[in-house]
Amino acid sequence: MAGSRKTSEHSEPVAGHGKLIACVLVTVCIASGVAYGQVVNLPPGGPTPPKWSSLPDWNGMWERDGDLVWDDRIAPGQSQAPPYNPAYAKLARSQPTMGPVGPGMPAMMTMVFPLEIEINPREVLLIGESNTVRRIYTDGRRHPVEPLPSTTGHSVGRWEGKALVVDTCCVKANVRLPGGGPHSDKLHVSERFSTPDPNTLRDEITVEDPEALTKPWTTVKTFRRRPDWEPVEFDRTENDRDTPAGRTRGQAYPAPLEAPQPLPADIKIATGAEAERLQKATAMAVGALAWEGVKVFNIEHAAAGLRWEAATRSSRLRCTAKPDGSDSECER
Amino acid sequence: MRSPEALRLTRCLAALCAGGSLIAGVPAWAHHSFAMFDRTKSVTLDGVVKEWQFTNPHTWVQIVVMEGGLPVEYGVEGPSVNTLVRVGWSPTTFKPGDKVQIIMNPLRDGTKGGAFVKAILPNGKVLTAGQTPG
Repeated sequence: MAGSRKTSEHSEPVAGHGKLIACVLVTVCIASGVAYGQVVNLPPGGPTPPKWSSLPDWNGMWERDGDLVWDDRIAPGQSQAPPYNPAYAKLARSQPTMGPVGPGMPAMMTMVFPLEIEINPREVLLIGESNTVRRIYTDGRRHPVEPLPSTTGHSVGRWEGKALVVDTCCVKANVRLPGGGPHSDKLHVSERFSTPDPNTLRDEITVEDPEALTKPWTTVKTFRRRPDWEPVEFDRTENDRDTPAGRTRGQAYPAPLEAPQPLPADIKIATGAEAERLQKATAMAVGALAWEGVKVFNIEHAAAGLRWEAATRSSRLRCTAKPDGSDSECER
Repeated sequence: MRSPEALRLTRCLAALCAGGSLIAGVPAWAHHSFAMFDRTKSVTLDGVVKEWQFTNPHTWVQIVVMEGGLPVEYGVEGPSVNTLVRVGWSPTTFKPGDKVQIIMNPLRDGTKGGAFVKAILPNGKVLTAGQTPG
């Protein structure tokens, strides 16, 4: 290459150089044995990112609404277990809920803790408070040719108007499903994110695993925009007093709790400004509860303060507060 | 004061323990089973705060109670920092030397500790895991 002789090779110096770099890269990758799997797999013609101006503003913090269950649409008292085949059902029963790795996909989308979202044309970042980052690439790239399994897997998405359609592969087999159960390396997650209103984000999730499940496992998660929140770090190693001998790990998919009594049909759910204040006061008293999912009723006003009843999907609460709604307390 | 068996922390305890026995379908990282606490019992501790650990995965109030003339230390476990911050708690919610009454669901194995239910401060202020700020 260093010689002065004119050859056809020298008429394509960039391509020739490129081949050399590729050769070196492949050598390095083979030598290190890990990096090759994360080479960007772009379509012919290069990336196809959307325009900035076409992207919705979902940036910021979102609180997950609903219960700490896989699917809020399943009535309390009914099983939340995936549709396992017999072999995987047995495997799920034989193991405690804690996997060696977590939270990953799809459990990251069903956690009690909030998510931060950042959107740019190249990718959508979903950042959990335990500093787990999930990247959804939207620049037209495809899953890697040589996928390297990870906790959050590999997600590619495309914008359909203001909705985001996502496909996730390559989740490590030792990442537990929501509820603590196992899956195989055939796990595949499809999602559709949309905003029925600007402050509500829906994530329709379909989990497929032909080796472990007899049919797709689906849910819908709702997130509520929290513009006044900042992320709060959750470092579970900070002060973890658990010891193998001292604590009992839970069982995956235990028998569900008894369902609460359904609300009588003649209950009038309160609406309006006061109802919203008491929904928020209930959420403050209970904690880790998005107020939008709280129903309040039987509100009583007294000189000493307010009294009301509240219901979530799985709880019935009796609450009190000062007349201005502060110092709220709720009990079952 | 409310009935001692009051269970105030429905969702907070879900956040605290994500316990398989409490709510089916816990997240994969669920921290530990809730079964170690006896949720049918409430124990009232009248004591002095030794330490307030505003930490993850769980917060802890270390409280010293006089029992038969001897000081006995209890560790009372509460929800995570990110849960509590959003309902008004802080690193100074309790301070060493504070006289408090704490109600907890005790550990089944008799260890001196339990799951936080609520605290009552000398001025009568009640702290649930979801104390309203102000």
